[in-house]
Amino acid sequence: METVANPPAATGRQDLPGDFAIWIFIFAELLVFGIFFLAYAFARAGNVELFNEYQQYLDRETGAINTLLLITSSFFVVRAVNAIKRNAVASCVRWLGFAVLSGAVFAGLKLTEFAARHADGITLSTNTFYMFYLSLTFFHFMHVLMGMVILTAVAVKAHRGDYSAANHTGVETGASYWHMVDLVWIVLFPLVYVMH
Amino acid sequence: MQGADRKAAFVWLILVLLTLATYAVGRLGYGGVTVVVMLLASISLKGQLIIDYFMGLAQVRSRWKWVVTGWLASVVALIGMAYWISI
Repeated sequence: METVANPPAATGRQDLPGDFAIWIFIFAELLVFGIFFLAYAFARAGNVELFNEYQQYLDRETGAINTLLLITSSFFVVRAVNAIKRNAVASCVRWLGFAVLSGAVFAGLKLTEFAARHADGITLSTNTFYMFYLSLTFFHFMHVLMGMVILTAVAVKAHRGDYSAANHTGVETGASYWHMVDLVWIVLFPLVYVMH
Repeated sequence: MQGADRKAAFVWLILVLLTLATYAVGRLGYGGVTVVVMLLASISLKGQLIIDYFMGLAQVRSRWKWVVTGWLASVVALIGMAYWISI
């Protein structure tokens, strides 16, 4: 009689982290941002000189600092998820707080950038490049604000003791959304601020 | 620092270094085909690191994870095509 060897134990997890509903939302958001990025890239293909000229006036320093802030805040969120998996509730709340703080600095710098463009008299109708720059970055900015609200709500619930090592789906749900916000900026920064 | 935290810190460091390299390219005003290809490769690497290790999808067996990786690959490829036709 033949014996069938047991298959090796599967590693990892079957499901996406967090609530599946947030992933439907994330997929929809990625689709919208993807279309926005491609509209920018193909619009640029028809106006290369204009896009290259006005891209030079963007504040790359602030853009780079904002990228570092979002990457770092995503790292803080990973630390928060790892902490709750160890039942370290206070540590989870602290890392989420750091992430929200990083997001707030990002938002503050972005507002400064918008204010500087506004002071220069730049609006959506100034030219095609600025139309894309302002609408793309503002759309992303709104997602950062939304992410901060979600992470704050998760931190409050964690502080109240609603999450533990056995029950941390809510933390993973908020984390997944925040990483999406980071992922989108990883494409946006080089595309709009650097690439020509 | 636990093992998972150490891995995340290593990924964070790579992301920071790639971001500083991207900034340097912009600061020095470099452009052209080679630079665009390098920047797109950098976007792909950074994006995949976030997907795999920050979102944690490297450990997920669900086919849904390919939606995110497919999104990144498609966006990078089509941006590359748009830049290619503008040369």
